[in-house]
Amino acid sequence: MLEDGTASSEPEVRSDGDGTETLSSARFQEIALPHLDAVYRIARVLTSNEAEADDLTQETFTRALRAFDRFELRDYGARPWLLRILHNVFYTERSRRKREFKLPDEVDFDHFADEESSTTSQPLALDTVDWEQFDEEIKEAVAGLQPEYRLVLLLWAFEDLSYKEIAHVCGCALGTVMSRLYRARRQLSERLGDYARDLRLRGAEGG
Amino acid sequence: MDCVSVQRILDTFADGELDAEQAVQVREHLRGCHGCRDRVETVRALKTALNRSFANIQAPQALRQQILQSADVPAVSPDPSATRHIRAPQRSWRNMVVPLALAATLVLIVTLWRQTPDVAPPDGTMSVVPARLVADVREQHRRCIRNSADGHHAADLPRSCPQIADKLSDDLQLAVLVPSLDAGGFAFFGADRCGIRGRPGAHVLYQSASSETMLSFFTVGRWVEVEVGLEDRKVEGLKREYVVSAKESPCVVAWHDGPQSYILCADLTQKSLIAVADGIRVAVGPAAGVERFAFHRGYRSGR
Repeated sequence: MLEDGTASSEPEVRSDGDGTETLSSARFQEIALPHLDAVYRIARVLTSNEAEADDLTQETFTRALRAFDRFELRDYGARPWLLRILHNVFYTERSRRKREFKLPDEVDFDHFADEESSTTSQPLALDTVDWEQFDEEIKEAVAGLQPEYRLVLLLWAFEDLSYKEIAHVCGCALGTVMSRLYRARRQLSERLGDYARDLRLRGAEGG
Repeated sequence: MDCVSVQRILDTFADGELDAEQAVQVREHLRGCHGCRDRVETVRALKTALNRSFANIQAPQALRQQILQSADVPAVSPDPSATRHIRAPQRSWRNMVVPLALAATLVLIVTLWRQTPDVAPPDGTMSVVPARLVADVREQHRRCIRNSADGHHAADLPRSCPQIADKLSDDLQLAVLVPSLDAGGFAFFGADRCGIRGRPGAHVLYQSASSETMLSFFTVGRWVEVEVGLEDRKVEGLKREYVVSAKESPCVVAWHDGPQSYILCADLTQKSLIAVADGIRVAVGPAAGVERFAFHRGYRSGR
């Protein structure tokens, strides 16, 4: 049941006796649908594909609706619940497609500082920056992350989720969240740093 | 704590996840360490940049209809007024985050990370009784709040800076005051943060050319992040609210440029804001003659 994210510890069977389909649907509309755009945004960036994002979002809400009478708003709220379903749908689908992937070793969180390298920079001329291009760089950098890193990054950036909430959504340990988030941010900043350096070089050549 | 010790927990601190005791130690370290502070700002800047770059993604209407139908709920009209109640409130990052933030992000991604200047024009200016410098600003806030129904917020100061209007008005969206001070002096008494009308902001207390003590206040559209600390936030479900406290940001810097003086207020640390102002100086040109920055905390500059 964990595959659909609906039978883990947090949702509970409601005993209020008002669970008619009409009421349930109305309540689902009230509680879950406001998060559609947020869920879709995560799905869209996670999959990097419009059709896949549609499917992933639709399946997420289908499963959420199916399990809605067992859902109770507590601990994490509706959005993390939906995102947890999304997470499970995403990985179920990946598993079905037998797309094997392997994560690099997790970061030893006690040695983050050892991985740091100091760099120096010169001021960047603002008028040399193409902002549309910058957006594209970010998007490409995000798309280049391992999906596990990408999801943690998006949950942190878009949803302002705490480590605990992210761990709940992803079904992993806090330490894993921390190391993935660290790695994701670092990879992203390295990629964007390369872009900034290129820009600076081009600016220097031009003037 | 030294830098090595701090850096091991700095990301956790930046995410507001460090326990209170350690957070106090880190904060203490950050007061004297620009490098580590930049690292904290880096994390915030990255979040800002990500939100901006992906701000336009919304669920397609067709998908929305499919999900509604599968929920056995009558399909809603595409009329926005009819769908408003089921749509999540959208963050208008695209509008709030300006290119300058991205420029800053680019720079800081290499070393210096900055926050987003996410600042509306000054909301208003009022004449106040002479204050005893910074300590009195808080009282002026209260006056300001009490008087807010009296329409004093109608700004009577110009909000543009002609020389750099093209940079400021639309692109940078930084709050700019041109108080028309005479060349002889500029009394910048102080500034502090406030949360007037439920929006975070800052008050600036300064002396006008006619020696009146003036108070202007600014609000920022949204905290990108306040100084990280558990006591600074309340989490209600997914809604994270920040309470205003006397931390570094937003900050105000002011400087002379020829016969005029300028004040910038932004949700930035002081160092970042100086960098922003310095960028404007470059935009104006090398002959602009920006002489010095005046910081809040009662700094007074004159010529």
